[in-house]
Amino acid sequence: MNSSAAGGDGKHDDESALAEFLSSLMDYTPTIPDELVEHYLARSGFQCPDLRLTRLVAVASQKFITDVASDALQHCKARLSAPVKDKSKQPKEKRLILTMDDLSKALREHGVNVKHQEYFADNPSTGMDPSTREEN
Amino acid sequence: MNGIPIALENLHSRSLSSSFASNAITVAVAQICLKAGCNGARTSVLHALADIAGRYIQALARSAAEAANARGRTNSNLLDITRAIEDLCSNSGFRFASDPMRPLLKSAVLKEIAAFVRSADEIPFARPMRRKEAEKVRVLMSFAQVGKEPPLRQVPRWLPCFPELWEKGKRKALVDSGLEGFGSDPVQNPDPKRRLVVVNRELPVVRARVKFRIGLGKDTRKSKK
Repeated sequence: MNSSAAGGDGKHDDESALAEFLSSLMDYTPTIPDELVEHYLARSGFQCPDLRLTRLVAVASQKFITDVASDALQHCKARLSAPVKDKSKQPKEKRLILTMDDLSKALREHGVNVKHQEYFADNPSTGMDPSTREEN
Repeated sequence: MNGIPIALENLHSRSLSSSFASNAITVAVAQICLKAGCNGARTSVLHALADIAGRYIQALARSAAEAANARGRTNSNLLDITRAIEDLCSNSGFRFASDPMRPLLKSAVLKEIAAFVRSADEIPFARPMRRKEAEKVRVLMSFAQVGKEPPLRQVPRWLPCFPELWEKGKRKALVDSGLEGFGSDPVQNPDPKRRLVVVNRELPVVRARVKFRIGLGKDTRKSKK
C-alpha cells in the first residue's frame, strides 16, 4: 500500500516536472526561430498544432549543434596546443578558428561522416595506370 | 544521419540549393558557435554545419511523423518526438537505452534537454523573422446557392458561379475573332442569313510547301502504269 502510494507520488512528480518543462519552453527563445523550424517540419510531413512541441524540436536541434560545436572546439584547442616542430609555421595568434578537420572529428562521434575529398580530378581516368586506362 | 557519408561536393553545391531557409539557419548556427566559444569558423564549416542542422530537424520530423502514422494518427505528439530524438541519439547513447520497457515520458533525452534549457543562456535569432501570412481562401458560391441558372447547358448547378466579367469577356473575344454565332446549334438557332466569315490569316513567316505520301512510302502511281 505504501509502495503504491509512493509510486503514485513519484509518477505525479514526474508528470508535473514534464508539464513544467513544456510550459517553460514557451518562455525560452531558441536560437533557431519558430518560423524556420516550422518550415523544415512542414517539408517533412510533420503536423502538430502545439507550439510547445515545435519549440522542443528547436531546442533539441540547438542542443545537438551546441554539442557538436563544443566537441569541435575541443579538437581545435587540442590542435593548437600540439607542439609544432617548425617554429616558423606556428601561428602567431591562437584564435580558435574551426576547420573541417575539427568538425569531421566531432561529427564522427555523433554518427555523421563528413568525408573530405582527397583530391579533385578533371576526368575519372586521371591518376590511373596507362595499361588500365587503355582497357577502359 | 546514421553513418551515411556526406560527400563534401554535395554540401558545396550551395549555388543551386541556396535558399532563404539555408541562409537563415547558417546565421543561427554561427550564433551557436560563437556562444560555444569559437572565435570564428571557415565558410565551408559553417555551411556544412548548417546543412547538417537542417537535415537533423528534417530527420526528427520525418521520424516523428512516421511514428504517428504507424499508430493511425496524422498529428504527432510528445511521445512521437521523444521516440524520434531517442532514435537520433542512439549513436551516442543515453541512459536506460538498453531497457525496452522504459517509459517514454521519463526518457533521459527529455531530461537532458530540460537541463540544457535550464543551464544555457538564451540566444535569440539575430533578426525577427516575418511569418508568412495565411492565404485567404475565397469561398465561391455555387449557382444553386445564389439561385442563378448556369449560362451553359452542360454546366451543373452545384459548380461555383462564373466570374462576373466572364460573359462580357467571352462575347468580346468572339466578336474580335469574327466567330460570333459560330458553333451554335443550327437546329435550334437557324440562321439562313448566316455566312461563314473568312478571316484573313497570314502566316508571319514564309514556309516551304509540305508534301507527304500515304502508303508506306511506295509509289502506287508507278504500279498503275
